[in-house]
Amino acid sequence: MGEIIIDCRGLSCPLPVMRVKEELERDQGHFAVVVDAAICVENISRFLNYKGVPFKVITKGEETLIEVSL
Amino acid sequence: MSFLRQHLILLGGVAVGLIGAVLVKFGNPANMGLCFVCFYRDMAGSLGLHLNPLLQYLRPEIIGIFLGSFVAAQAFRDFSPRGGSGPAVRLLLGILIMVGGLIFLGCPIRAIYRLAGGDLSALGGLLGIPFGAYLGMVFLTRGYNLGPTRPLPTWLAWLPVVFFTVLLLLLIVKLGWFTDYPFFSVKGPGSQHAPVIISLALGMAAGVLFQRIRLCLSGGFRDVFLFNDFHLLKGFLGILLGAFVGNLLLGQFKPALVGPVAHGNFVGNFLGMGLLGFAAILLGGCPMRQLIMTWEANLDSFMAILGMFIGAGIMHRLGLAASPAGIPLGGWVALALGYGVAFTIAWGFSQARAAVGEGA
Repeated sequence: MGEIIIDCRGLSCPLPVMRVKEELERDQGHFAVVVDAAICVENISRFLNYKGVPFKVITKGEETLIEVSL
Repeated sequence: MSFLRQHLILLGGVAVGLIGAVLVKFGNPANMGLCFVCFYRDMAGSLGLHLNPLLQYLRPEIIGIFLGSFVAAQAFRDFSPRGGSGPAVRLLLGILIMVGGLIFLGCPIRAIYRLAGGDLSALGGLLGIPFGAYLGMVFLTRGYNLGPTRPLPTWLAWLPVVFFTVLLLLLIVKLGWFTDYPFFSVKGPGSQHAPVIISLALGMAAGVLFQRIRLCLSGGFRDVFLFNDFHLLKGFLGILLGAFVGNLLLGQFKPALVGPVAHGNFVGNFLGMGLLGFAAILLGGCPMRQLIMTWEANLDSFMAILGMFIGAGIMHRLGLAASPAGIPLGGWVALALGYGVAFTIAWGFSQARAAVGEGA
């Protein structure tokens, strides 16, 4: 089970959320997103909460990893 | 997500609405407590980028919003210099924002203030925002992307800080020594303003709010179309509520088909704000949001801001901007050209979808 990591570092609004949405629709089970702006973390969290998808947020310095497991 | 956190955006919006009403009470032009399009235009005029004697003033609100959001960004560590995501295209999109904004006479925030002040002609513009957001969304879903930003050397992050510090110094010089330059209007909307200290202080308060609640008005409609997410739109509603209540309390609610510093051309208002919304989605944020991101040291947003200053210069230098008298013929031409350029950019940058780094 290779884990997919989507690199959304440096992408403007709302591309990171759109990438997450696409990945969810592909229904791959586990994946993670790397972002580097607080606003992207908020937008993605809000979207995942709205969809009722469980996720974990791990912050390392400027970058944040959001792990999604369906 | 806690209850307070969910409703923070609504409360923040109400506060912004009240701030707008209070600034008008203290002397800002009617329904223009805060208006990013109008204020960039007045500042462009003050710097001499256009010479309309009625529209020249170094709006301290903008400098205050700078100080406020800059401090908030520093305090909350949202300050990291980045750029390089199509800066030239962003400059161009900034110009398009002003083309649309100066046909409508306002930014999305002023559209709300206008409605909250009883100006029904604002409706054309308010309907134009979702239209523009929809156009932008069509291209976003087709892969529109200006590419990722990259981290930049720290010293570059101070470039916008220097720019706005120079504006602040110019304001101080003007007030202290009554110099000719920067130009300040002696009549017209440019001459109507709240006392400098109040503008600065309320601007700072608004700056902290904008930075913290991440309000974005064109983004609000975009999120509704894309994700059925109404979170950002609650900010819209908050501003409308706050400004409406503020205007009622201060006796500034005056229902009219066409309010002050506005015109009643529905098609022009709709298409003007549509172009602004379209360009804003292509930029990733409305004129206000660009300012906040500039102060989070996003150099690309700074390019968009400079584009807006240039756009204001072009529109007024060439007599293309609308006025309460209506939209000049050249304004319609500028609007048509603006849509042409916006569609070209949107189409062009939808062609090659940037590779998504997988397994990085």
